[in-house]
Amino acid sequence: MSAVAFSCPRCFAALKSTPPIPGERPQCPRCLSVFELEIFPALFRHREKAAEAERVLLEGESTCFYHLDRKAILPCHSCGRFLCSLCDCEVHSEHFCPSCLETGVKKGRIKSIENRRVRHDTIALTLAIAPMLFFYLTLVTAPATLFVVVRHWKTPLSIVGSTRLTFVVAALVALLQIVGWIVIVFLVIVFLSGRANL
Amino acid sequence: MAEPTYKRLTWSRTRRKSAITALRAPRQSLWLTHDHLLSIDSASFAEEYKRFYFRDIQAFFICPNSRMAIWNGILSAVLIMHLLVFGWMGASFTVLAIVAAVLGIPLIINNIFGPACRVYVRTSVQVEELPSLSRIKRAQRVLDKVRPLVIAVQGTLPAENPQEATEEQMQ
Repeated sequence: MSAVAFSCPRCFAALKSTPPIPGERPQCPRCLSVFELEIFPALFRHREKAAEAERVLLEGESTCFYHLDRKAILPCHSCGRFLCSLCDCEVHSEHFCPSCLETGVKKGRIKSIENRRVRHDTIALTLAIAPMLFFYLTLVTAPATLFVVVRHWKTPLSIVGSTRLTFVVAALVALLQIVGWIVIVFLVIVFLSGRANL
Repeated sequence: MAEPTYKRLTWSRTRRKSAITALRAPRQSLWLTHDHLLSIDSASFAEEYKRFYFRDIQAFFICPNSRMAIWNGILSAVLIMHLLVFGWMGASFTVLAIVAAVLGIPLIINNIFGPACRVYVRTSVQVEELPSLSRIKRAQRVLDKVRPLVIAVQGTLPAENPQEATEEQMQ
C-alpha cells in the first residue's frame, strides 16, 4: 500500500500526516496553515492504466486511420474515421479522434468541454454606454453597437444561461444615440438654411 | 448535447493576486449542476470555465485566515478616528450617530459574514482555489450542498483506515 501524496494547497509542501484521516486538521510544516479537510474516496483511487491498442492480426481487419498497424475499435463521432483505443478520446460517452476533439474545443462545438466564451452582449452594452462620456464618439460607436447586436444575436451567451436583455438595452441606447445625431444634424441644417435666407 | 441547467452557489468574488492587479483580476463564481461544479472566471468580456466532476473531486481544503480580524481592526480604527474628530469639532449627537451608523455598517456586515477562509478543491490533476468561498459559514453551506452529491457518486469513506478500505473496495 502506497501512501497518498498530500501536499499543502498554498505552498505545496508535503504534509506530515499522510494518508489523511477524515475530519482531522493537519498543519503545514512550512507555511503553518491549518486546514479543515473534507476528503472523498476518489483520493485513494488508483489512476487507470493507459489503453493499449491491439495489433492487426488478420488480413481484412479494419485498421486505425492514424495507426495503420492497430486494430480499429470504433469510428469517430464527428468525422467517422476508424480509431484504435489509443486515438479514441471519450467525452461523455461520445468518441472523437484527437483532431476532431481539438477542433471541437477550439470552435466550441463540444459543449461539455467548452472552456471559454466571449460575452458579446457585454461588449455591445459597453460599446453603447462607455463612449457617452465623450458624446461625439457615439457617431461611430452607435452603428458599431448595432452591428455587434445583429452579428452576435444568435451567438451563445454565458454557459449558465442569460437572456438577451443586455443586447436589447444596448440596441435601444444605440438607436437613441443615432436618433440624437439625426436631430442634431437636422437642427444644424435648419439653422444654416435660416441664416442663408437672412 | 443540451447544455445543463446551472444553479448559482456563490456570487462572484475577485481572484486577487495582489492589490495592484485587483482591478483587472477576473471574478470567480461557483455554479452547480447534476454532475459537476462549475467555476466561472469572468474577466473583461470573456468567461473561462472549469468543471469539477463529482467523480473526480478528491478533497476540499478550508484554510481559516485572519482577514475578518484585519478588516475589523481597519474599520474600527476608521470609525473611532472619525468619532474622535467629529467629537473634537463639537458635532451634535445626531451627527455622531449618523457617522457611527454609516461607518459601523461595514463593520457589522463583516462580522455577520463570519470568519474568513480560503477554500481549495483537489482533483487528481489540480488544486484550484475557489475565491468566492471566502467565508467559513458560506463554505460550509456550499459544502453541505455538494457533499451528498459527491457521496452519491463516489460512496462514503470508511471512518477507520480509509485508504486500505477504499483499495479493498476497488479490488
